[in-house]
Amino acid sequence: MIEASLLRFDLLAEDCLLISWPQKIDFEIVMEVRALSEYLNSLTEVLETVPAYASLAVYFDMMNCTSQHIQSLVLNNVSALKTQDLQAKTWVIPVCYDRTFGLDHDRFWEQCKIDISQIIELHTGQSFTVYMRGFQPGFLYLGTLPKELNLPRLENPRSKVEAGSVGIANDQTGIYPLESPGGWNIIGRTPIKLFDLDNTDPTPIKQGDKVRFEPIDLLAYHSLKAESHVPTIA
Amino acid sequence: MSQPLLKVIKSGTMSTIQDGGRHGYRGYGLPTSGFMDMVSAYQANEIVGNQRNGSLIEMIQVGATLKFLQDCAIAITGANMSAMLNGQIVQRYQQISVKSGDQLSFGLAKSNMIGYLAIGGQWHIDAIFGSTATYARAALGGIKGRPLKVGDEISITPSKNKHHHFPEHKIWSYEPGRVLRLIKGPECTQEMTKWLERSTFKVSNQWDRMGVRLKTETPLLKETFLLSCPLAVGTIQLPPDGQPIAVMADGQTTGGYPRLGTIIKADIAYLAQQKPGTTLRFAFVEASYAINIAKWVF
Repeated sequence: MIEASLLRFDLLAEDCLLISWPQKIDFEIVMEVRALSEYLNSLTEVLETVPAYASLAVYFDMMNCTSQHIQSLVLNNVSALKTQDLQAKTWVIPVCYDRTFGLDHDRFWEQCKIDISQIIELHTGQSFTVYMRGFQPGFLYLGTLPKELNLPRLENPRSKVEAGSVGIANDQTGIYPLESPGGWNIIGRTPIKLFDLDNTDPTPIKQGDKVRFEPIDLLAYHSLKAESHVPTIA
Repeated sequence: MSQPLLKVIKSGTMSTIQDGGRHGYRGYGLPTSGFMDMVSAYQANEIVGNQRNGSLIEMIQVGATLKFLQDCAIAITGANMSAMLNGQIVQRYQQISVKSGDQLSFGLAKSNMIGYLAIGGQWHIDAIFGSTATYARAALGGIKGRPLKVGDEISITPSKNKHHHFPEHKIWSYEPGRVLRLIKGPECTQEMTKWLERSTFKVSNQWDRMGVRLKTETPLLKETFLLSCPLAVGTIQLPPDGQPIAVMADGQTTGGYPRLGTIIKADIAYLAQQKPGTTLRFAFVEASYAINIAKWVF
């Protein structure tokens, strides 16, 4: 695990300690954030954690505990945490890349000179790391995309992106689990449910897990959609 | 199923069922939601004898008109929305007995933004992830995940309440002109600190339960983008146009702009009650000071 001296501690709110790693996209850091998050969530003083790429917010019981206490627990235990022990899983997510869903296919042709079949080949040809969840319920930030697929966000975000939309922003790909405004380049849509209100663990896909996209046609999209599927392990 | 106690006659601008919030799911990207002005909401629940984190109706800008279908005890707190019971003016911050058939109407919030209506008893609203708070963007909580609509009925089993006297000195002042106190954020440079403390800001029209956009005539332009990182309710971010945004109850759990600081909990309630156009100033405080105030107030 990381050297404790490289971690930075800030108070984000009266009841929230923020732990920051060196700010870069790095698989080992992502796994360390997850390991520390899992450790802290097992403590009664900790109410909840918010893991990000290279930082972790820790909400604690302000009335019975201090941020200094959480900080010393982190410093004393961080070196013993092992990222190898984490149960990282690989998930398969079906995506329909049909033109009806791939709203920005033309932008890839205009700016990257790649067509639909190349988009599909590049997007389904490898598995991607879940760097974090967040920004909206169940949103997954995945990477890193091959260079050919890199395309900056839209200058004018759409006011409405449909639930299940799969997008690209620079070297990352992401999934909008709910309808929302959004500025990512949309290349397809998944029929599966990525944020399940009926489950106490609404998103089984965790930071540090891998995701592989599987191309499906419109027919398969509609039949999977009707059956309301959840993500499956590869 | 118990009998409906309340029927919505007019919905108002943005009336929702809220409570102390949905905790434990920020790591999934789900905001806590819940009361925008925690202080007024706690007080309303206290006056009717409910748990302070319990369900109530939060009304923004223009309040609702409601008809009571059973006898019960209510309390109104927060912004003055000219509440009338059967056409007669009723006071805020006290317990009021209402009878079946009574009609309660709220108008435009006069000097502030948000009014609260608490009703003493057990609310029969399905909790999602442990909370009844409405989070309209994900269509969850409250009634079908949306603000109240004409014709909605709310089931509450009214409790037999003792009279509760709420002393006037406990009512918070939301008069404009206060300085909002901040805990310094991780990306706040010396330049940003000076700018934030020396500038005057106005609450803009970009105001909702997600966030409050502030405006200044002297924006600080910084093209800084971060790796997405956690935000708290009250965190002030600095986007490239130099006009800061304060995260509110339904706000994003993570963001990518520099975090200048986080408004202390006691002052988040105050910010929530300020109308667009109100002038604001900021001052940084020591973390230990902020924690002491939070423990004392909440």
